[in-house]
Amino acid sequence: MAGAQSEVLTPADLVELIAAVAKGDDAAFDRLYAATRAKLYGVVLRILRRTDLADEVMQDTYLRIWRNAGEFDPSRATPITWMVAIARNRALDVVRKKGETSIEDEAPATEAVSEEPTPLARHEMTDQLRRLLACLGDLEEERRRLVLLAYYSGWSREQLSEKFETPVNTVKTWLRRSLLQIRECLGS
Amino acid sequence: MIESPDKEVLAAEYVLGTLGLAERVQVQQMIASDPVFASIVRDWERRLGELNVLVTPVEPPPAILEWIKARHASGDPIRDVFAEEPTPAPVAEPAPTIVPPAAEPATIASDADVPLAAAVPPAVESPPIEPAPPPRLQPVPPAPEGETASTAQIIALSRRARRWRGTALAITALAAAFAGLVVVREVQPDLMPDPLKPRVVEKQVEVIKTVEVASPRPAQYVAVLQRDAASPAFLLTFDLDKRTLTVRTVRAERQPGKAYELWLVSDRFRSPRSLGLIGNEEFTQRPQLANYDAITINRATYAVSLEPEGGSPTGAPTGPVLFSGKLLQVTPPTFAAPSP
Repeated sequence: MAGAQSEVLTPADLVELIAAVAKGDDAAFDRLYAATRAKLYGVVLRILRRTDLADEVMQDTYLRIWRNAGEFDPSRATPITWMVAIARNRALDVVRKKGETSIEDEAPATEAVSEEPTPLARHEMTDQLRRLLACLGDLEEERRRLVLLAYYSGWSREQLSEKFETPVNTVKTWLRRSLLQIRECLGS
Repeated sequence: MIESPDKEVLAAEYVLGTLGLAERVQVQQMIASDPVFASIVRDWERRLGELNVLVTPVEPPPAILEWIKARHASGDPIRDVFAEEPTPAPVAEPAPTIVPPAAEPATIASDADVPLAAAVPPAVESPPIEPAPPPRLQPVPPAPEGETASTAQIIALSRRARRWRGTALAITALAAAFAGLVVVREVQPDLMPDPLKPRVVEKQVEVIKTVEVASPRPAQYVAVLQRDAASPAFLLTFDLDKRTLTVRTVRAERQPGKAYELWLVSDRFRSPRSLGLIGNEEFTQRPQLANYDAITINRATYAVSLEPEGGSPTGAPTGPVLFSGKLLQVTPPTFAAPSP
């Protein structure tokens, strides 16, 4: 039901739910949706900044999750990173297709959104995240902000270049070095 | 494992989200055709995807789940974002297609897009929007008169509106789908697809009512700023009650280093007043009209000029004035009236 409360589910629970959805268990889809909708909505809304677009992307995302549940491979991704990737890809496609959002045109409220993500409860910190954050911490301050803003706000190189008052080519170079450094730091 | 740093970085940037439209299309083709590359992308999705933990959850509108289920049940395809034409060839007037809406009613109602939604004709054999004389407070405006110019503009608007509907995007789709559903339900209930017959429909009726309550009297005005069919166009929708102007951009190409600026031209002012830059998004809302009285707004000419990025440096139009037009009042279509 739409009003169902979000349950707190472990990744293992989510893996089971996705497997059940793949087998046609509609009740499992309801539970999967209830457990993940707010996270995915938060992710796409931040990128799209318009509720109408976010609502549409949510529909397309969950339809894809529902129909492609059988493709989820728990050895390659966690349930939430798989779902978030589907949602972000959709949101990014929509936002790029619609054209670049000029930074000046953003409502003031969106600027007020903190660039730094929410403080999180310790128990949410997965080992993988801790390692990623450590690697991000090794980047120079400005490059770290660049990578985080790109991820959370879905900004293109051009928008980052505007925001950081830096030529696009420099942004490109920073991204390249930062991403390769992250990969090397993570070692996998 | 690293095949080439270039591929690695391309995959990473794709996942990070920094690529432009053309590169995203290219990468998606590579993913589809190159399993090794696809696997590199998956690895980056896993690595960077951990960052989701830090995103604040936001509760989505409850209606979304209903729509997902309705679409799933009806086998509705997930549309290809890239394949979609900005202005698709005119589709043969379909019987009301049930396009699941983009948004949840409450959100829309509180949004600037309401005036536009109300101004766009419904998906069913569109009852033509009727031009009416400038604002009077009578509940029902008189029948259209032979003002050829404005009628032509309105017809053009109506046509455009029908074409946009084909994009099934955002608000237009929402308004069209809702309006269509309501009319269908009253006129030809048998056309309703099974999955949508039950309570979902009831919800849509509520939506229409909400919109109507928000604007109980005809207070919608539109202006179409366009030179010819091939040039970019802007559709202005003005909601008198809310004093908000919504600009919808159609096919206006972004020119490097240039921006479109909207002006209010009135004989009350010595020079045009800027209403701000028109954003690159499809919709731009301009609340600046709160500073002007209704008569000024009604009688003013609206113009769009091409300015340097960031807007006119002087406060007056410096670039060419591309389009201008005046507002016309439109009456929201009466949903209860069955089409002949």
